[in-house]
Amino acid sequence: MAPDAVFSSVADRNEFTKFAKFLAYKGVQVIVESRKGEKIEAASRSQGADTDWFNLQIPDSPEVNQATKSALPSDKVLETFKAELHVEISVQTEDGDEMVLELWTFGLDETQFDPTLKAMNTVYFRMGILLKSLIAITRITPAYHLSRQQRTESFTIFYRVYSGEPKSQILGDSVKKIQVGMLRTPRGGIKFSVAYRTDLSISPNRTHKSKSLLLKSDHFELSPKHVIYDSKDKREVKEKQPIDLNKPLRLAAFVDEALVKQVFEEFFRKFPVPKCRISHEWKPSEKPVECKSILELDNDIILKSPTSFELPPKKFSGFRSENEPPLKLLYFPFADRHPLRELAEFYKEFFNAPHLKLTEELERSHSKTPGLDVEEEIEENDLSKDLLIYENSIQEFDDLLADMCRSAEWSGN
Amino acid sequence: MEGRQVDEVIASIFHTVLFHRSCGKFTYNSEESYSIRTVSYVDVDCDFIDFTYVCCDSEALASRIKREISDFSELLRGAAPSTASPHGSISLEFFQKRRARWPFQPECVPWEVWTVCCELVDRSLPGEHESVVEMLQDKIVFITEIINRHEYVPKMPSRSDVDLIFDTSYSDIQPYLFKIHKSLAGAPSTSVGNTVRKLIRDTLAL
Repeated sequence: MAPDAVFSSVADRNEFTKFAKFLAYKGVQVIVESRKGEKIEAASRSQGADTDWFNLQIPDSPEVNQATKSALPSDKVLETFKAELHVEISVQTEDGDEMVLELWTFGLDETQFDPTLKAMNTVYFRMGILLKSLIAITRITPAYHLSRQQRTESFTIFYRVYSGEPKSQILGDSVKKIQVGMLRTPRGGIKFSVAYRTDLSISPNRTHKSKSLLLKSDHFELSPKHVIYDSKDKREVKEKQPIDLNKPLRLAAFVDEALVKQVFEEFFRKFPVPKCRISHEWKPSEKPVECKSILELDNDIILKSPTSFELPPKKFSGFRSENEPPLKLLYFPFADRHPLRELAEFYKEFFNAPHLKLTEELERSHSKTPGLDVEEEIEENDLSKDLLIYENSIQEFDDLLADMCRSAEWSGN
Repeated sequence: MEGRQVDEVIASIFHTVLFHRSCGKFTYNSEESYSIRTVSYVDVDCDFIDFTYVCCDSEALASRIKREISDFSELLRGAAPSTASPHGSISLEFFQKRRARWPFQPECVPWEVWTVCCELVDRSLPGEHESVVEMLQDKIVFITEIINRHEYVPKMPSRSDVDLIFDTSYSDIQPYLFKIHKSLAGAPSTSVGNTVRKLIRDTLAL
């Protein structure tokens, strides 16, 4: 086993780990991009910045990065490499038949270390070459040709990133394996390989499905499948995935965006939202609706810096955590009509209620500084008017309260 | 392989090698320090083979390779009527220059040579097409295997030596200096006088 002492400094070791991490991130991006079914042409991508990792213009899809991040924790990069990181590419037909096409594996073989390779810039340069090999190899397996057909045929290609034991049995009996390359480093040999199915015919009795059920393990539970490109707006995503309300709404493929926009505008004109519900009115010209088609989303993120995902995603503070499960109905045996049950149900309903946008807006308006925009001023004026009315009615409320207290005293007597 | 496949077979092999053997343009900040620009790549679909390969996104580099390959292809196909099974070879040779004393020209030292030997067949036999695709797949894997061994690659040069290692004539890409040799005899041609110094010779016999 290669000792950690092979690095001349802690900085080198940290740098190596960082490079390995980005090698994995970019490797997964290369594989997923190659299965989107798009041919990369000269003008199809905008000119990359000079800050691209490994000096290669590889896309940086946040969704793909997120999938990699879930399988490759930043504090366990080399450990995950040692345990192997896998990218599984599968296909699903319109009838629901499913088949795993290929399994890409990133690994670290600690017996294949090279203590002579000391310069980190050489390691970085060679990792770039390994990525180039990966790019070249992704074009030669049968799944590449199948992916290129997905825009005209009715099937969907999925990817899934996970670490641990490979599930190579899911590839069927006829499997071919290719070693993309091995980079010998002081810490061990970083290797990329692919195992792929050579028989692409799906049997009608779905024998494969029953097999995969038997082989199902925790890895699969933890690593959800992601659709690479849905060929038509024909079906819902089969996976039961939680709906992330923070993500912008996306339009299905081939939807006429102008028409959707027009419908939205018309709706808001006919049914204006009351002022007390939202802080500002619908202004399409100023703030376009955050709807993105799948393809558009992919094009938008190409230039995003790879370092952007170093920052952890911001959580909404002050609210119930997204991951916290909703409260189950509290159950009080033999107390169906007890007032405590009513109270419990009331509490539960409010606890599980979605966070209202208004709450956020109000919070913001409380902490706002001078230099407000007109809309917010109007909102504040409305509130002040309301307050003024209530303040003027203080005497009335006091009288009412006194009256109520008196009646309480009488009934007590 | 068939005559019409020659260009694409050679192009897919040469471009795969050149993609690995090209860097982004260097910008030197000082004699020793430099930054490297990003390399873009494109997919190329073959017309006569069911195959796609990757090449550097550089029109100038692609047109030079195309010109060299078509010259060879014409030479080979031109020999077809007189020979039963015409064969020849085309080599992609990477070299570095060594400065020589005046008045001599700099010496070119090859450090890696990739040779494709081609033999033309009259007409496509059943199953021939698949075998060409499979052969190409094997060659791409072979190329990546050899290149990732990192047996010999010239060191990154300082500013004054960059032209001894890299071809800096392209605006969008910086490949290692290379030459293309063509031969109809079957045996790969060599740079006279430098044969002994060849460090790696990888022959791709088709």
